[in-house]
Amino acid sequence: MMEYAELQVTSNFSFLRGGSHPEEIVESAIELGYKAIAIADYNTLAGIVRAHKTARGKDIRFIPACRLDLLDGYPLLAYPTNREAYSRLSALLTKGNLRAEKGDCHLYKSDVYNHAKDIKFVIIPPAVLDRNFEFDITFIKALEEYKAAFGNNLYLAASFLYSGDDQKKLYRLAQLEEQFRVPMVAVNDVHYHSPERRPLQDVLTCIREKCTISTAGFRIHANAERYLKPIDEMHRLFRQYPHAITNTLSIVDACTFSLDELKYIYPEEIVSEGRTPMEELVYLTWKGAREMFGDELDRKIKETIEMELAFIERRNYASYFLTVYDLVRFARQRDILCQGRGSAANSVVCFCLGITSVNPSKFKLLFARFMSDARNEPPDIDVDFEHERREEVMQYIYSKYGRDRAGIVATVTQVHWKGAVRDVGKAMGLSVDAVDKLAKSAYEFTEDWYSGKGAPTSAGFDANDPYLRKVLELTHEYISFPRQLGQHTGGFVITQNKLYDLCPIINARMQDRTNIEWNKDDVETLGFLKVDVLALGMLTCIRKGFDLIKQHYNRNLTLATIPQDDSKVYDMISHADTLGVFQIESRAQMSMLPRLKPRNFYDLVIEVAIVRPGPIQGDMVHPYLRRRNNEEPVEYPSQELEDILGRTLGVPLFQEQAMEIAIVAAGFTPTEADGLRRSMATFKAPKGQVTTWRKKLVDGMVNRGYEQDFAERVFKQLEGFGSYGFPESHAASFALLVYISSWIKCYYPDVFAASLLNSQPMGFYSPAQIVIDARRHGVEVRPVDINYSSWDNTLEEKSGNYFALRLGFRQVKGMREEDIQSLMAGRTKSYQTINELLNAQVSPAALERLADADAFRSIMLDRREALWHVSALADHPTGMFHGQPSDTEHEEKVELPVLTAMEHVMQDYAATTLSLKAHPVSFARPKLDALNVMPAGRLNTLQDGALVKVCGLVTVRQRPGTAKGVLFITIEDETGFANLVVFGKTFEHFRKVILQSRLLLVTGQVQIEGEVIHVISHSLHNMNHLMRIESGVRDFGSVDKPTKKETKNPDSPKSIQGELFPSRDFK
Amino acid sequence: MQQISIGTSRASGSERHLFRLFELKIATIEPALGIELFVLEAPLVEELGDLQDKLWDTKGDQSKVAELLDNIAGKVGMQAIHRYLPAEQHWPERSIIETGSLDQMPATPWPQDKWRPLHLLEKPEPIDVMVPLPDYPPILFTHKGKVFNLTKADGPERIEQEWWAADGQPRDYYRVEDAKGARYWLFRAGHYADGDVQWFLHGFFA
Repeated sequence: MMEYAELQVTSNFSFLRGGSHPEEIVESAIELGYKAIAIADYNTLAGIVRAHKTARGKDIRFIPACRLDLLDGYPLLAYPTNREAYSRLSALLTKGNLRAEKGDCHLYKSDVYNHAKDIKFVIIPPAVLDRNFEFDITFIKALEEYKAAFGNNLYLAASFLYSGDDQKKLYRLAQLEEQFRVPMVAVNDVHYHSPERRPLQDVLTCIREKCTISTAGFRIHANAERYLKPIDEMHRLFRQYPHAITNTLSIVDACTFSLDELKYIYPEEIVSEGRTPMEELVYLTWKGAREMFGDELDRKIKETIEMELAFIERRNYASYFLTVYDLVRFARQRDILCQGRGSAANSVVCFCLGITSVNPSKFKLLFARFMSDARNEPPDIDVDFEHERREEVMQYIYSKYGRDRAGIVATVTQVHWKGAVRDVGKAMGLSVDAVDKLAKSAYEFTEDWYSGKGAPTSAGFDANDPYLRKVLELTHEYISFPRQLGQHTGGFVITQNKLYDLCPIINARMQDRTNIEWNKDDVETLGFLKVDVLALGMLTCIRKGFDLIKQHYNRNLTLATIPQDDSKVYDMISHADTLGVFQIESRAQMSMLPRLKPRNFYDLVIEVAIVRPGPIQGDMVHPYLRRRNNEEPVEYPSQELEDILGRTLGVPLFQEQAMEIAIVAAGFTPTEADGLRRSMATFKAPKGQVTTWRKKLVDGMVNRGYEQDFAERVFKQLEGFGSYGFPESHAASFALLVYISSWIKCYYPDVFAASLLNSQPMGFYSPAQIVIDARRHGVEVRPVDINYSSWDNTLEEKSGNYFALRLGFRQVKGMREEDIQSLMAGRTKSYQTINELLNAQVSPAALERLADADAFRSIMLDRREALWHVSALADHPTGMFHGQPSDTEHEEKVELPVLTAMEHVMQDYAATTLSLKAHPVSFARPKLDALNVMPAGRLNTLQDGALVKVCGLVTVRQRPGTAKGVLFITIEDETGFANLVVFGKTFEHFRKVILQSRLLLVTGQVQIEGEVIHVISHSLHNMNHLMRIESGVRDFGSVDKPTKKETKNPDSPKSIQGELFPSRDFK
Repeated sequence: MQQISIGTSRASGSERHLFRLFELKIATIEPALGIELFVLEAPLVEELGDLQDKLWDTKGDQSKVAELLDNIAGKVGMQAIHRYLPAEQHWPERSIIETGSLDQMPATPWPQDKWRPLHLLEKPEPIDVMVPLPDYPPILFTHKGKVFNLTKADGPERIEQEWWAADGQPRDYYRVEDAKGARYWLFRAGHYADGDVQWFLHGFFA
C-alpha cells in the first residue's frame, strides 16, 4: 500500500495565492486516498478549522500547520507535534500579528527560535539554481543556522514541479541532506486541488501583482503542476529518492496533535462562594425564580425549571449561562437595557436570570422546542444592548478577563459578484468600461443567456464570445473566496487561559479591539462557546423612554414590568398605527397588521416572523391569513405535523418548523436538517447540491404520503429562510420589544417621539415624519429655540393630554455638541441679544446655523433678521469693551423683506429636516386642487377600484427582492400618507420620473382591503416645480468663508433636493 | 529607366558608407546604349542625430554595427536579417520578439535560469523517437531521415498552453546531447499517458 502525505498546501486563506478552498483540498485528498494532509497558509491559521471539519469522521488525518514567511530568513513550514507546540505556534503568530498593521504579520527568525519546541520545521529552498547549478550561498548558510536551532526537527523541502532542472535540484538537495544531516521531504507546493484551477490561480496572481494575464510573464507559472497529485504519481516522481516520501510519513507520525484536542475552558470568575458552576446556576435560578414568580412557585414552572437545569447539567452548559448572566448583571447595574434572544434565551432559566424578559410560562415558549438532546446544537444566546452603550459592556469584558483571554470572532468577508467580476475582468485585460458594465449587469446573465439562447445583454455582452465566457467562468469560481478577515459585530470568545493558546489573535481595524482569526462557524466546530454582544437602537430608544416617563410621569418601568396584554395597545397595533415602533413599522408590516389583527403576544411573534422572505417565498402568508380569519378550515397534512404546526394553524411560518418537518415528514436526521439549513444559508451551495437536497426533501415527504405541492412549498420556504433565517426564538424576543415600544407609543406618544428623535438615526422614518405622527396623536411640538431647547429633544409642561415636546438642538443640521454646551452653560438667565450668545463662547458658525433653524424667535427675531445680526457680529466689542453695545446697534434699523410662509418652511427643512409651521405640500394645494388631486387623508372615502390622483413628497422607495420587480413608494402630503405600488413595466416607463421626483404626482387606481389602501400607479409625474424645491436654500450672507460655500456646488439642483427632502430607499 | 536603391538601418551621413552601399549595386546596372541622366533621389530621410562622442566606449561603436548590417543587407537583402529581444513569456514561440530597430533595448533581460536554444526553429519539426516510458528522455531520434543517437539528457520542463489565448496540449521539453556533443531541444506534445503524443525538434544549442 503506497502512502504519501502532502505537507505543503496553500489554500485560499493565503489571500490571492491559493486557488482552492480548504474544504476542496481535503475532499480531493480523501478521494485520492491520502491518509493525512496538512494546510500551511502564509502566516495564518485562519483556514484550518474548515479543513479540520471536512476531514472529521473521514479516513484521513488533518494536520494543522502554517507557512512562516520571515522578514529576515528563508520561509519555513511549521507542524506542531502536540497541543503545547500548537499553542506556541499560535502565540508566535499572535506576536507577529500584533506588531503589524491589520492583515500583516511581521516575524523574525529569533521569534521562531523562541517558540520552536516540539514543532517540526521544513525549510523551503530557492526555486532556481545559479549558473553553476548550485544553491545560493545564503540558503546554505540559512540551512546551517536553522539546523543549529532546530536540530532533528528540521527537514528540507524537495519538489518536482517539471521546471526542467528538477533532477539537478534534487541531486543538490540530496548532497545538502548528507552534508548537514537534514532529511529531505517530498512536497508538491500545492496551490489548488485540481489542475483545472490553474487559470484562476494565475488570475489571482495577476490581481495580486496588479497586472493582466498577458503581461504577467514569469509572475505566473509555466504549468499546472502545483495540484494535489495522486499518491503513486508522487512515488514515481521521487523514485530516486524514496526516503523523501517516507519522511513525509514520519512527520505525520510525529504530529499527533488534532484540533479536537483544543479544550475550551470556561472562565472561573463567574462563580461565587466556592460553588461549582452548576451549583451557582442552580442557586441563581431559584433565587431569580422567587423574585420573578413569588415564593409560591407554580408546580408547572417548578417542573420546567428542573427539567431545564437537568438538561443544562447533562450537557455541561452551566458556565455558558453564567457567563451570559454576568454580562446582563453588569448591564443592569449600569442601567443599560438588554434583552437576550436565540435558541436558549427563551428558557425559564434565562427568565429567572434576567437574560430575557419574555415570560416563558405565559407564552408557552418551551425550552424543549428550541433545545433538545437530539439536536446536539450548542446553546446560542445573543444579547442585545442599547446601541449607544454597548461599548461599555464590551470594555467590561476586556477589563474583566483581559485582552489575552477575551477576543471578538472574525468574519470572513467573501468575494461577491461585483468585486469578483471587476478583479477578474481587469486581470483578463478587459477595458475599464467593459468591467464597469459587467459589474452592473449581474442580473442579466441568466441561465437563458448562458445557454446562448437569450439575447445579448443590454450592454451588448454576447454569450457566444468564448473569452467573455472564460471571464465569467473564472468569476464564478472566484466568488465566495475569502477576501479578508473582518470583525464580527459582537461575538466574544472568553476563556480561562490565554486565548492565543487556542487561536492567533489579530489587530482589528477599530482601536481597542482585537480579533481572533476564526469565525463563528469555526468556533462552533471546535465547541468554543461564544457570547454575542449586539447593539440595538430600539433598546436605546426604550431606555430613553423609561427615563422620560420616570421624570415626567413619575412611573418606574422596566422591560419586565410593563403591563402585559393591554387591549388598547393591540387595538393601536391592529390599526397599523405603528410609526416608529420596533420591527412592525415597515410598509410591508403595516399593511399586514390590519389583516392579521394581533390580539396577544404570540400574535406579535407571528407578525414579526411572517413578513419575511421565508414565508413569503414559501407562499405561506395567505393560507395563514385565510385560516386565521376562518375563511379556510384548519387542517393538518398528518397527525405528526399537528404537533409541529398546531400553534400556527397548520401553516409552517418559522425556521424551526420547517426544520422539524424535514425531520419528521421527510425522514432527515437532525444533522441532515441542519446541513440543509446551512447549505441554504451560505449562498455557496452549488446548484447541484440544492437540487439534491430538494429531491431528498420532496421525495422523502411524498414517500410518506404528503402532497407534492406541500413538499415543494416547504422547500421553497427553506430556501427563503436560508438568506434571512428568522427563527421563532428570535421572533419571540423581538416581539417583546415590539410590544414595549407599542405600549410606550400608545400611552405616552410625547415620550415616544422624544426618545425616538433622541436615538436617531434608526428605523424607517425621518424626524419630520416622527414629528408629524406625534402631532397627529395630540402632542404639541415646539420649535428649536435658543432660550428653551437643550441638545436632546425634551418635554416641557403639559399642554392638553401630554407634555409638550421641545425640539432639541440635535435636530439642527451641522450643529456641534460643544457649541451647545457653551450655550447651555451661559444660559443662566434668558438670552436677550445675539451678542450675549457670542459672549458665552458660541461660535459664529453655530449662531448662523441656529439662525437658519429659526431658533431666535424668543428674542423676537425671525431667521432673516437673526442672520442679518449674525453677519454683523464682526464688530463685536471685545477686551475692555466686553459687554458694551456694538456700533451696529446704533445704526439705523434696516427693514428686511419679509419671508413668505413657504420660504420659511423650505428653510426649516433645509436646516432641521422638518418644519412645524406647515407641511410643504400645503402650499401647492391650490394648484393641486385645480388638477383634481385628492388629499391622501381622504383616500379612505373612496370605493375600491376608483381612479384617483394623489400628490406628495416621496418618503420611502422600496424594491424588495421578494416582490419580483415591484416598487413600493410612500408619499406624504399635509393630510397623510399614500402607499403606491408601481409594477415593473410602469417602473421601466417612468424610471426617470421616479428617481428624480421629490414631489410626485401619480394617477392610478385605489385598492382598498379593509384598512389597507394602496394606489396602483398608472402614470407618474414630477411636480418639483410646484414647490420651487430647487430654490430652497438661503439667499444671503454667511460667516463661512466663501470658498467653503462653493464646494457645496449650489448649481446642482440634485444636491439641494437631496438635502431638502431626502427619501429613504431600501432594497 | 533603371533603378537601384539602398537603405541604411540608421541615419547615416558618412559618404564613405553610403558610397560603399551603392558600390554593391552599381554592378547590377545594365547601361545598354549608354546613360543619359543620373538622378539621385532620397525619398525617405531621417534627421541625423548629433551623437556625442563617448570618452570610454566599451561596447564598441554602434554605428559600425549598423554599417556592417547595411553592407550585409545590401548583399543578401534586409529580409534575411533578424534581431530578437527577450519577452517575458513562458511559451517559447512568444518568448522572443523580433525587432527591426537596432536601437530598441530589451524590456527584460534574457532569462538566466531557463535554458533556451541559440537557434529556435520558427516551426517545430516532427521527429521520430525511441523513448522509454513513462517520461524518460529519448534514446535516439530521427530528423529528416537522419538518426541521432543521444547520450545525455536533461528535463522534462513542462510548459502549458497559454490558456487565455489558446487550447491545446502541454509540451514536455528535454535538452539532449548526441554522441558528437551537439545539443538539441526536443519536446513531446501531450501527456505521456495519453498515448496520442508526438515528438518535435524545436531548436539547436550552441
